[in-house]
Amino acid sequence: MATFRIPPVLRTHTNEQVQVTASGSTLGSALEDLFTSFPALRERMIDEDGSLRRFVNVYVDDEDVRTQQGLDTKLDDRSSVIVLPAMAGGAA
Amino acid sequence: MVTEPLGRTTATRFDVSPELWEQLVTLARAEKPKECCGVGIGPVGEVARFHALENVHEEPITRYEISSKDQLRVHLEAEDNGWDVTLVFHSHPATEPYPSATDLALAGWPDAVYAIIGMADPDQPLLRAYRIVDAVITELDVRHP
Repeated sequence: MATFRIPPVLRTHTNEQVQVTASGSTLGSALEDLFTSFPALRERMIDEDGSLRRFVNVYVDDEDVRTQQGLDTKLDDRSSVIVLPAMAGGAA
Repeated sequence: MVTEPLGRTTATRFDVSPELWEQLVTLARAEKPKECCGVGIGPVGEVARFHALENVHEEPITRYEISSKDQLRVHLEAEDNGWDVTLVFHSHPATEPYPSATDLALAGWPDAVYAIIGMADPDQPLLRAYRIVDAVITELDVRHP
């Protein structure tokens, strides 16, 4: 089971749990497992095209999955996944 | 490693130390006309350490974005100390320091203070601070030197 660290803004969707576990050999399949337990997470993390939302950063073992294989990034039982909402904005 | 939520602050004030004030103003002046950005970490409701970070957005005059790499680095530093992100800071170089629609839409840190410094007049920096939860803005009473 991979471990997911959930940021404050998403914890309302994980019963306030900071850390949850999910099964899957890839990030995408583990997220599907996670969404079975916490369905409201899906819309917050995945866009209409089935991709990770632009302003959600996901790291597997401290590497941004966008620099790996995205949702196809491989996981194993020791994988640690960190989810962080992007810090972005601006006057415009 | 923290496995329980650190808890929410209900503070209505944002007290800025002289050191932090100096860091925020110096950063905003140095980056103008671009927006600057940075993150504070600490125990709940406290900025123990502030990191000025690079604005990597492709339109830095009117937008900011912290790189995912910097964000992870600061996040891990906070976790190592049992802290959380307590401040998300950026500047509005030419406009009022009030959250824009973009700021609201992308405000993903409900436990942090969102502070914006208005630099329309660089000699009179105007710092305002907010808590933004589910796109609802609560302005905080800012005290600075």
